[in-house]
Parts: sequence; C-alpha cells; structure tokens
Amino acid sequence: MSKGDERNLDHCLKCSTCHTQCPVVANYLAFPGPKQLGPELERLRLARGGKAPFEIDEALNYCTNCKRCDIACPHGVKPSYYNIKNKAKLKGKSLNKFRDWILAHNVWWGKIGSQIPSLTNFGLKFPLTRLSMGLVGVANRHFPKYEKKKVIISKEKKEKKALYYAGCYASYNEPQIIQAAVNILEACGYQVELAPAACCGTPMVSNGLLEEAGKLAEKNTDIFLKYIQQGFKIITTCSSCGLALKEEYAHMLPGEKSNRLRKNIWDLFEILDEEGILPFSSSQKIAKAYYHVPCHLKAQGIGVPAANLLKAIAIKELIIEDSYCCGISGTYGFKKEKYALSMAIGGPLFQDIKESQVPLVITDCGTCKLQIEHGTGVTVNHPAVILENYLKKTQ
Amino acid sequence: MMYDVVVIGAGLAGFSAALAASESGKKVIVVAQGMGNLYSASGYIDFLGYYPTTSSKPVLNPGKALEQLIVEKTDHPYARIGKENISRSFAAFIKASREMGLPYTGSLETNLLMPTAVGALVPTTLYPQSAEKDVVFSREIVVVGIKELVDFYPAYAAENLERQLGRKIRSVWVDLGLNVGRELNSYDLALTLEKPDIRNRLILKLKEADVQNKLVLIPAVLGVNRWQEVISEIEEKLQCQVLEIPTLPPSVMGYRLAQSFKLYLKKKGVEFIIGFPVSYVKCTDRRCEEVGIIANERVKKIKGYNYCLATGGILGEGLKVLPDEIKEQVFNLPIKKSKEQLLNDFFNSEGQPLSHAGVMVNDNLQPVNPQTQAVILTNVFVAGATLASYDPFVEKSGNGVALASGYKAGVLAAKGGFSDE
Ligand SMILES: Cc1cc2nc3c(=O)[nH]c(=O)nc-3n(C[C@H](O)[C@H](O)[C@H](O)COP(=O)(O)OP(=O)(O)OC[C@H]3O[C@@H](n4cnc5c(N)ncnc54)[C@H](O)[C@@H]3O)c2cc1C
Ligand code: SF4
Ligand code: SF4
Repeated sequence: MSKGDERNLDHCLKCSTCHTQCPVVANYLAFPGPKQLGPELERLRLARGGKAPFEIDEALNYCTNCKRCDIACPHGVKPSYYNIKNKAKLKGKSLNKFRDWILAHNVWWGKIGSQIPSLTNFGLKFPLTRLSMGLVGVANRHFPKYEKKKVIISKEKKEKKALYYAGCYASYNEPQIIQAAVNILEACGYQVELAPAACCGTPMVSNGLLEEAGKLAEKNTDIFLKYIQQGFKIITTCSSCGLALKEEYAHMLPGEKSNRLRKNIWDLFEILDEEGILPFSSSQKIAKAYYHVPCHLKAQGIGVPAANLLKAIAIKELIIEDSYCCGISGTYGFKKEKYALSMAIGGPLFQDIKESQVPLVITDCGTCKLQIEHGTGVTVNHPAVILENYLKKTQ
Repeated sequence: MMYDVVVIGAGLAGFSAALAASESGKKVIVVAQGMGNLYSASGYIDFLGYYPTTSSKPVLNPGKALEQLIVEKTDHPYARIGKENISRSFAAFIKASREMGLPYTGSLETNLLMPTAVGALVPTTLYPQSAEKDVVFSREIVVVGIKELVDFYPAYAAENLERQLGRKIRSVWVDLGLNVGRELNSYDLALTLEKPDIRNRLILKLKEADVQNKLVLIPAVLGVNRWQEVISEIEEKLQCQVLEIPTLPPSVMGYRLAQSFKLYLKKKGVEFIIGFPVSYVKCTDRRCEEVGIIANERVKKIKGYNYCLATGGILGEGLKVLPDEIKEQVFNLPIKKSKEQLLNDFFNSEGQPLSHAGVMVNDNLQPVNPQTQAVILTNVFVAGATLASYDPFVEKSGNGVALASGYKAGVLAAKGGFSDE
C-alpha cells in the first residue's frame, strides 16, 4: 500500500456518504457496503497484522468496482481501492474461480471469437454451449457478437502522433468504433497507429486476479512508454480501459513509470476538448438521444467531453445522465449468481431511458452498451460512431 | 469550454449558488472534492434558532431576529446578504423544492420546534412538507424505536420530551424481524421500508402499538426515494400522523434533499464533476482566470467568467487547520482570525471561536482582506460554511446561511461585471 492510501484511511470520518452511493447496497442489503468493507475493515486488518481473512471478506465478491463510493467521499478516501486489494486475497469456490478466470480472460475469447466470428456467434447461441456455460456459472444472457473488420489508416507522417488503444470490446466486438476513432483522430491532424497491446487488465482486476493483472500492466506500460518517448499520446475510447491506465496501473505499479504513463493517457473526446479542435460540421441533427455516463468515465474526473460535443454538434435534445450505474460492471453481470442483481442495479437506468422515450442511447463503454440494450431494447451506440458522421467532408 | 459560473463545492451552499445561476439561464458547472455535508445533516434548514447567541430560549420569529442581528452584527454573513436576499433565497428554494418533488414548507416568520433523536426540541425554519407537524401543540405522542436500528432509544427520547412538554409520552419498540447478517443503519432501513412486505410489517406492528389518532415520532427511515408513499400509507392506514426524527449519519432526510437537489440541477443543465478537489488556480489582476482539478497527474482546467467558492468550513475541508494557522484551501485567502487569537478567546461566550474562523467578505460576498477590507478577487463570491463571523452550531443557522449566501453568490456570479464594490 502506498503512503497516500494509508493516509487516506485516517481521513475516514465514518459519515457513510459512500454507503448511500453504492449501487450494490441499494439492491442487495446483505452487502456491507464501501465504508465497512473498505476503511473500517482495513483498519481492523492493520490492527491484526493483516494476516487472517475475515468471514465478511466473501462479500467483496459483490463489489462491482464501480468507484461511485470513491468519488462521493467528502474526505478523499477511496474505499474501492481496499476492496480490490483484499478481493485478490480471497480463496473462493473452485467452480466460480474457473468461471471468473474465463471471464477475466475475455481477451482470449475475443481473439478466438473475432478470428472466426461465425463459429463463436453460432457457438454462443447453441443450446449445449449455453448449458455448459450455465454449469460453470455464466449467466444465460446475450453475449456480444464477435466481429472482425479491417481498419483503414493513413500512412502519412504527421507532427502530432496518436497511439490509439482500442481495448477488447472495440477490437473484438465492435471494430466500427476503431475506424470511427481513427477517422476522427486523423481529421484532427494526427498520425495514428494502433496500439500493439492486449487487454488493459480491468477484467482481471475486478475478478481478483491482481497478480496477473499487475504483470499485464507492467508489460503494457513498457509498450506504451516506448511510444510516449517518441511523442505519442495514448488515446482510448473505452472508459474502463482509460481508467485502468490512468488509475488502476498507478495502484498496481506505484512509481515513476505509471505516473509518466497516466499523464499521457487521454480519452478521445478529452483530447479534442483540451486542444479545442472541432473537425465537425453540424448538419442534420438527431432529434433526441440519451447519454449514459459510464461509472468509469465519471471516476476519471474529466467531465463529459463526448456528451458536450454531441450536444453541440449532433443532437438537438440530449439527456445527459450520470445518476445511474447500468449494473453490468464489466464481467460482473455475466456471472450467474449476480445476473439478477446486475439487472436490478440497472433497473432505475432502464426505467429512466424508457420513460425518456428516446430512440437512441449513447455511451462510451462497451459492456454498458450490452447491458442497456439487454435491459431496454433501445439501440446503443458509441459517441465516436455517431460523431464520425459529422466530420467535415473537406479535409 | 467557457462556463458562465463555476461553483466550487457540492454542499447546500454550492447547490443554492448553482440554482440561482441556472435560473438566469447561465452555463453552470459544479466542481467538488466529494458530496457535501447534507448526507450527515438533518435536511432541515435552520435560519436562526438562537439569538442573541447566549440566549437559551429558541427564536420563535426568525425574520424579526434576523433584522435585529443584521443591525447588531454587521460582519455576520446574514448582514452581508441582507434581509431581502434572504427572503428571496427562501422563496426560490421552496419553489425549486416543489419542482424537484420534495416539497419544503415553512415561513421566515415562524420557527417550528422539531424533536431530535435524544428528545430535545430544536428550532427550524424550512422543513419537508411531510414534517409539518407541531409537536408542542400536538395530540398524544408515541415515540417508536425500531429494534434493527442502533443508536435510537425511544424511551430516552420520550422521557426528555416528557420533561419539556410537561405531559405523558409513551414509547414503544417495534421489531421488523429483519435478519441480513449485518448491522443496519438508517439508510439501509429506509431501503427496506420501500418494499411493500416490510412496510406492511411495520404497519402491523404500529397497529398493535395503538397509534390511531396519535402523533407517531419515528426515526427518519421511511423510504429513501418513495418516502411520500411510505409516510402517507402509514398515516392513512392507521389514521395517525407521522413525524420522522433525524438520525445519526447517514441521514436519510439529508440524503433525500441532496439527491433530489442534485438531480434537479442536472435536469436544468448544470454540469457536475465530483470526486476531485480544486487544487490549481490561476489568478491575475484580482481576477480568477481558471481553476483546475488534478486527476491523474494532469491538471484538468475549468474556465469561467465568475466563480462561487462554497467549499464548506473545517469539516467540509474548505478550511484546513494547520498547527499555527487556518488556511482556505482553494485560493489561499486570508482567514479572519489566526488560531493564536482564537485560542486566546477560547472561552468567549459567543460560541466556539473555531467556527467563527473563515473568509471575510464584503456586501457582494467578494473575499476581502480582513485588515484593509480591500477586495482580493473581484469575480469570486464566497458562500456557506467558508464564511467568517458566525457560529452555525450555536446560532442554529448552518443551512440557512448556506442557502441564502449561496443564492446571493449565484445571483451575483451570474450577473458578473464586478469590480470593487
Ligand atoms: C452533523 C451535522 C448536522 C447538521 N445539522 C444541521 C441541521 O439540522 N440544520 C442546519 O441548518 N444545519 C445543520 N448543520 C450545519 C450545516 O450542515 C452546514 O453549515 C452546511 O451544510 C454548510 O454547507 P456548505 O455547502 O457551506 O458546506 P458543505 O456541505 O461542507 O460542502 C462543502 C463542499 O465543498 C467541497 N470541497 C471542499 N474542499 C474542496 C476543494 N478544495 N475543491 C473542491 N471542492 C471542495 C466538499 O467536497 C463539499 O462538496 C449540521 C452540521 C453537521 C456537521
Ligand atoms: S470513506 Fe469517506 S464517505 Fe465513506 S464513511 Fe469514510 S469518510 Fe465517509
Ligand atoms: S466500488 Fe461500487 S460496488 Fe464497490 S463498494 Fe464502491 S460503490 Fe459499492
């Protein structure tokens, strides 16, 4: 634990503000909540030398790592940090461990899937596969479709360089996002390269495979730093990848390297906002849409740059909502025992979307998209995919 | 992006400033380190409960007492705000509270005495409509404790109330039979009481306690979002009146106000970035040009024409107590009293001097130098517990000052174009 995090522990005044912001507490009363699982238990752990786990630790499995507690705390404590750290020490049932491993290695599924999309898509629908997934504890829900597509990138050398890190979801399930991001970056005058890095590690972190995630983080950091040294900015379009590179890596590998890394990680729309470049023209606006702010975007402290752009350029009436967690939290909602809870957490969001009577929802996070489509039946798109249509034609 | 008004702080003062600024159609952003103190406070908005501060008798007409205070204590935030602006903020809040679906009521001419968890009676001015019940002139009172809720003892509260009201007050325990394997707080209970089966259990137990035609005092756990439904169902089914008593944190009544207010502001187009302290500022020529939060080793700059500083007091972390001074955290504004002086008059009867410490302002709520009265930043307006020269706890004026000063700061920040006055 780094010095800062230890100090944070003393800042907890037990006001329970975080407790009231936890979407799991609101839907599953047995969950002790961030105050108790985080700072309170950590104090106890420190007092007892941090050895023996507590019975209550099992509950850590139910933390979705949404980080709503962290940003709510008036005193700068980050309860989710302790949750992640201590979740990694859990033993767990072996079957669930296997299932969590499968889900944590979504990149592995993704690779196979996108190589032969038709096979996987068929396989995931095939009853026997679904049954066996059920046996290992994967919820019977719609899985993302695997898709493969060639990305077209300009070879032209430019002063401004962007290394675009697409992340698993865009890479394997929705390559249109990659093309859209590349096109937008190029329109902003960037020379774009695709990052040769694999998964960011978020699924491993939330499934308690901290050690493995740490190794991955180290590997990725080295790759990114090489590019950073050559003047590249690292651009993400997935809120969870972005947060992992900015924050989670700094927890796993505290030090100079991760600090240098996080300074150079940008959300695509964050960098547009920062540079004040608007390569868009506001033609035919979409009448109405709903922008769901992913929890992991909220936790980045960059506001809602994509939504602000959408509002200015593409959408007449845009409802921007950050009050709700969609409930999927990456791989969480794919677990059989958490499926119902995950849908319950998303309930208020689904209801708000339905009541808004929008034909379109926009969000930056791939798994939020899956959950919202599953919960509402409304089409969900990535802001880059929408905004790409508004790029100025003359470039 | 350029904002018209940047509000720093997400407590009642910040929300009130954002409300005022957005009412005049301005582009507003609220930036805050975390949520404000409402989640710990009662949700009642006390304007002035005790005046003079040494008086032990509650103020019955806060409007009149305020007029007196404004004349007598020219440095007090209320004197800086002015009676007219206080009334304006009062009305604006009532209107907004109706629109946000959490209607508040009250009058600047009357304080209502509200029971606390220990059975004290404290004066308050603005309260949720559902709490408009007069304990003093009420019918028979029954204090109800809920077994699952620690830290509320109905007999103790009843005994204290009995003493003050001079009449017999009954107390009962009800057991909801909840067993979730952990200690429940008021927020948890409020969640469960939104479930029809558990609500019915409560109604059944209350029926057994014979509460018909009585005033039931019960800890504020009657629903987080659907409290109106829960309270009216109990009242209708049992033909009784229900008054919730604020609890220890997390305070459900404060939660309801904080959440509804925030959602309301969002629907009005106010943006929020919560979770990071403002830790960068750029000021030139007595103007604040931009502020910033440091997220991920990088400054995210937020630019506005005008700023409201509503970062709270020592508890809210807008003021920090260091070994030999008190510091204002964002702009490093001078603080009215040094701690040495404070310690010297620690036994001052006017109240706890630490809570008197804060940023001194002029009538435009611009920060001024305590010695020279010169304006330090012309486009920054200060509100809430960050202000100097009052004691919210002794006077019982915390949320009132936050609401009224926030509102005035928001109005002025929206207007803009200020120099010195
Ligand atoms: C336990 C308790 C109960 C109370 N009960 C009542 C009551 O019943 N009635 C009543 O009238 N009053 C009550 N009060 C007093 C009242 O709550 C306060 O006076 C009032 O809330 C102050 O509001 P504020 O907006 O000024 O500050 P706060 O609510 O403290 O808000 C400060 C905000 O600023 C943010 N902030 C701080 N530093 C920074 C920074 N550097 N950058 C960005 N943001 C920052 C904080 O995160 C927070 O969002 C109570 C107080 C306490 C402690
Ligand atoms: S972690 Fe923060 S919000 Fe949670 S109880 Fe502690 S101080 Fe309050
Ligand atoms: S990270 Fe989310 S789910 Fe986990 S304790 Fe915090 S608020 Fe609850």
